[in-house]
Amino acid sequence: MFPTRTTVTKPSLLGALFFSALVAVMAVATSVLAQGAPPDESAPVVTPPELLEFAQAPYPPEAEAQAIAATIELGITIGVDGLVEDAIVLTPAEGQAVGLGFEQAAVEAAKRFVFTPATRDGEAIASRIRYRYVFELSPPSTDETERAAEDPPPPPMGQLQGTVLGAEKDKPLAGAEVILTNEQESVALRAQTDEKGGFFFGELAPDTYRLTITLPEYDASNTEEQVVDGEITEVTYRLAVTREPVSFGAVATIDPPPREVVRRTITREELTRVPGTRGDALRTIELLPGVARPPFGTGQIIVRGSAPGDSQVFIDGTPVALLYHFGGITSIMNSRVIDQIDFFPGNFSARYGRKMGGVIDVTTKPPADDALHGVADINIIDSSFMVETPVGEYGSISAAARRSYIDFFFENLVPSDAFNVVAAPVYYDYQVFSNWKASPRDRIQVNAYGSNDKFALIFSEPQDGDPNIRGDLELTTGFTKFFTKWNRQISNDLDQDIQLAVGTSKFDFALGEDLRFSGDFVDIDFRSEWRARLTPRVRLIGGLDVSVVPFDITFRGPQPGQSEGTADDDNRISTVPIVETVVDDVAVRPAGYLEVDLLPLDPWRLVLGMRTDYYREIRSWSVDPRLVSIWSVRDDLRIKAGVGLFSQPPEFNESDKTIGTPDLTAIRSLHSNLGVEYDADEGVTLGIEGFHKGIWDRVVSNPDEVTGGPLYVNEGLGRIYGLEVSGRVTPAGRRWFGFLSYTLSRSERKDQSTDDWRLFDYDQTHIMNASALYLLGRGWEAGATFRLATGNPLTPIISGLYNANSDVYEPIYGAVNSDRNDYFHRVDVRVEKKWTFEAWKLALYLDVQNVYNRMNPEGTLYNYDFSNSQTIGGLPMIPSLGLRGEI
Amino acid sequence: MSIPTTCGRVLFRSIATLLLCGVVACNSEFDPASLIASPRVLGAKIEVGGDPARSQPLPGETAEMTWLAVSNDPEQTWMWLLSACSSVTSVTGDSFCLQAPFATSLQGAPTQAPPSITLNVPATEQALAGSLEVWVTGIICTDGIPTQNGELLECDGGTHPGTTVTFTLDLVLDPAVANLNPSMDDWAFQLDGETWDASTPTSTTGCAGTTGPSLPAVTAGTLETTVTFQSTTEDHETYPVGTTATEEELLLVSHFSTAGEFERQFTDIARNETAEVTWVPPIQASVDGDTTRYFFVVRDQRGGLAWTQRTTCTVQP
Repeated sequence: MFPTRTTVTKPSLLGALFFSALVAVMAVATSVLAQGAPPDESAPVVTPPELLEFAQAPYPPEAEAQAIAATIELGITIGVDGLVEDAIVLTPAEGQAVGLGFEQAAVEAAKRFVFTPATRDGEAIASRIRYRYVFELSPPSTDETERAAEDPPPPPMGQLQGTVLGAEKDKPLAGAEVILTNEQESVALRAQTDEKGGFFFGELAPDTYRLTITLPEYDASNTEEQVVDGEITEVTYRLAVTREPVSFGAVATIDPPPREVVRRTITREELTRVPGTRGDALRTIELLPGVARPPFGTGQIIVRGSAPGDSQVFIDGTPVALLYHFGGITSIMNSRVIDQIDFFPGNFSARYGRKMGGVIDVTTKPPADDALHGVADINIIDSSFMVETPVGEYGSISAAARRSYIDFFFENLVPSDAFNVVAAPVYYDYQVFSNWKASPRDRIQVNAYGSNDKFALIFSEPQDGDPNIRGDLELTTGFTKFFTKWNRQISNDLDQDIQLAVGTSKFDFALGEDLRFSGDFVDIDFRSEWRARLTPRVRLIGGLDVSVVPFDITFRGPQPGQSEGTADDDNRISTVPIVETVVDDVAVRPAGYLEVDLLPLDPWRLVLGMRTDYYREIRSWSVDPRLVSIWSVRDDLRIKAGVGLFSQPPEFNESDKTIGTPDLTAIRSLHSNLGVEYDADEGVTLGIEGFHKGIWDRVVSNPDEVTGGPLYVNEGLGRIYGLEVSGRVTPAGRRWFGFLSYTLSRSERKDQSTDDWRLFDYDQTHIMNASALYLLGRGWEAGATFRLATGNPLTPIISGLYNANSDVYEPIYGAVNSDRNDYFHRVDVRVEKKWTFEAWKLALYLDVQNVYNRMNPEGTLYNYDFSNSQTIGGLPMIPSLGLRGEI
Repeated sequence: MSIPTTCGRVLFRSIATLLLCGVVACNSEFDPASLIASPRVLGAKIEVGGDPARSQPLPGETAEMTWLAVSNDPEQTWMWLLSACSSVTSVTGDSFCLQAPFATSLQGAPTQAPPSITLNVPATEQALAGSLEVWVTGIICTDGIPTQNGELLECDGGTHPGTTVTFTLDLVLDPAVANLNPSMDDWAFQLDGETWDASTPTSTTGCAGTTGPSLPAVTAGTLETTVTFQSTTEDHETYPVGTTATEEELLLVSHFSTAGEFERQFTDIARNETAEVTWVPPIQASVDGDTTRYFFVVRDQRGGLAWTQRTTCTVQP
């Protein structure tokens, strides 16, 4: 038993503070000794950390104005010096308190706590505890204040009040017997905990008291508490269920340490409130430094000058095929089930592989285990809901779904003579998540989620410009995934995660007879990871990452060119030969990784990683060493550097034996980064970072193909370099939050050794994003996002060649990417009004994209013979009005 | 694996295609592709010597290739530089000569005769470099001298840049399987339900006068006129696909006009089917009426081609 303590004087903020996991086990140990069990002399003697200095968190202004209380459960990592190394939110605010900034305030305060370190056999060790930070307002009434002014000073007495909880579920324990005695045993008081586990002893003389708490089936607790004159001493205890045999030891979750030079995290508070995203959490990624703007608002992720296909999105560590409905309308996962998004723009951990761009890891939120909660959202494009509830004592479950209703008004938007609508666009997605705390050391997640998009049209006649564009146009994408993860704390210093995701995905696209792509995949992703702490200064992480994908693909269409820089995006199919391939195969890609996290010197962290991948389809291995160094110059200033190798297999069409070249090797990239991160103020972080990526063995079309050479060769090169500047203000204790990011970069490619360097398809020299949201009070909040980016490169068409076979002009291109679109800039705004009722909340929001209706150039449209052209404009002003209810 | 990446790119391109086809293109400010506002090339027809119905020559045969070049001016003159070589086409659609051109046609002085080239197809496999593909390329000019500077073809000194052209011809070894040109001579054309016969005007104005030719009249500024046409059964050849299957030709008709606007450029027409396309007359017409010429070009999509011309007189309301 290890109580946390805060001493407050009325009236003021009350902080009820809890320790749990480690604390609970310590309670076990203490109670065992108290019950007279023979101590296990072979077991190490572990003492828990003790809070020496408590830091007061500022009360979030909007919450204070509305008198909303909250409880935030934190996981705090305490170093051997007793200082807090890290604090994360384990259980965020719930109900009315969601989104008001409690979490960040609690985290920032906890980082200023000071402890006595935990010890093992007298030696200080790092440890991790659970801590419950309670925000509660008790403002004095006018009468009380006046009375206080008139009343005589209070007697020299103190008070002791506390709460008794179950260690595993934080369930209040009613009926526990609490006995309080002083050192001289001249005082002996007895109380019983109420339904909320609370007890109270008033009018206590300042002294040190022994507190004994007992409850059948729970281990007893014996502690000493200090009661101070004129103050209320608040304590919280967690009793562990008596287990046989009882082991002695600290349970410490060994989280993987930060291993990336750059890791940008978007928290749940920010995810759904960024202007211009329509509340879509994943769209906030586009505002982060190093992320280029995709054309037409599509959801392509373009990270630090890498192609969209070079980056990967993971959901709970499992790769997902598609991130957005219809390529960019909205993401396939309800934002309310997302806990946080981690974005690694380069030099990422050895845990991730098969990609050489960036990594986005979406962590889903464990379903709430305290009570029923729900959110329903209705806007002009789709409707969604999410409910979550505890199930039994140790489980919880959530379910969410969304469906679009574009189909209801599609026929009124599309010109009736353009095509006949067979199936109007419709998309839906669903998620079911469950969480089960099987034991204090075991946590099991079972999730299922999926998505489906479909539409079909018929072009009643051949289209001008290309008579082969006719007939049916169908697009169907969908996937279903079942995911299970078992996390076990094998020992104090060893954790294990085992996860398996099995699902199916489908992709069908057809445009007439000559363009068809149909793919059915069974996606099997297995990952097992072990995290061990060898010494306080050495941690080891090892894992297996296996992807097995039986697939069946049919392709008919023009021969695919190289994936980038081909200048063949005019989508004409009548002037090129049609190729066809049917592939029925199994892609097997096993990988192993190992990462060592060293603390050679106190402020210096060194992470050495190694990943080995095998790609069955090209029968090729890759070995990628990686190194990251983090030097904490001061508590608020860190210098980070990294260098690492990254490998990526060719696209399936590039290595297919019919329409590709099976003898290709993996594409390689060397990432180098150097940056500085500075915590300017509480919740205010500034950063600057330079980066360089070298790419070789790029898969490019072979100019000698026509004379019998292979279709593709690994002869392309790439180089990317740039500078990122970022500023971020989190919602912690303030009325606003925001991002500011600027990226200066250049991304170039060389397709043949004799070629000159040219611009990459999505090179954007300047990218600037600024976004802020302000809490106006009375439930109002408003914000804006400004985006500015250099226009994407484009390849000019200098003339047309009349093809008499098909009566179509073929474009004759100028130098690849030798021209550019004009600058892109746009302002999005978001206004929300929230009404808070006793049991639920209602919000009305307006999210307007491109408020000044800027016609941003996205490309060039040519006439039939390419003698005239006009600029293709991007998305116009798009208002989105929505209504959201929460319980 | 990278399969999802490929899917994503296909998805992105399909969305882009849809945007361009269905949304952006509707708002374009360009003249319609079916409007002949300046000199145009509309197709090329190959007729094998001694068997003009056949569009595919055999090695050793001679074929005449005639280009349909048109303009608003019935007296338009042409110059051209055309060449033909034995070739190969890459999987991405680029053609390359395997040997020096075996036929060249240079017309350096203006003529009203249509551009053409005589293809004396080499007889031996060696002379054809082992290929049964012939690539015809060149430039057709109106007022500039056709010249070639390296790979660059241009109309030297002209005000009109000319039209660079390309055509790929597949030779056959057996005349029995050779493709035949369709013929539009017997096609039934109707304009707003009335029979519409072929005609060739000599001037662009004055059609409404008493001395002008008798042409179907359409009124300027009216909503639309309906054009229908029906192919003949024999134009839809049956041809083998693979070793056992056969398919019937689906003819593709391109329609053009020197004024007004067709609703689209292309129309498919199957056997025994009557195709329909609407044409919107010009907003205005001169007092004496304006002659509008219409060109209908049919392709069997296997190298065979035919064309025909119609005329109307657009009169003031």
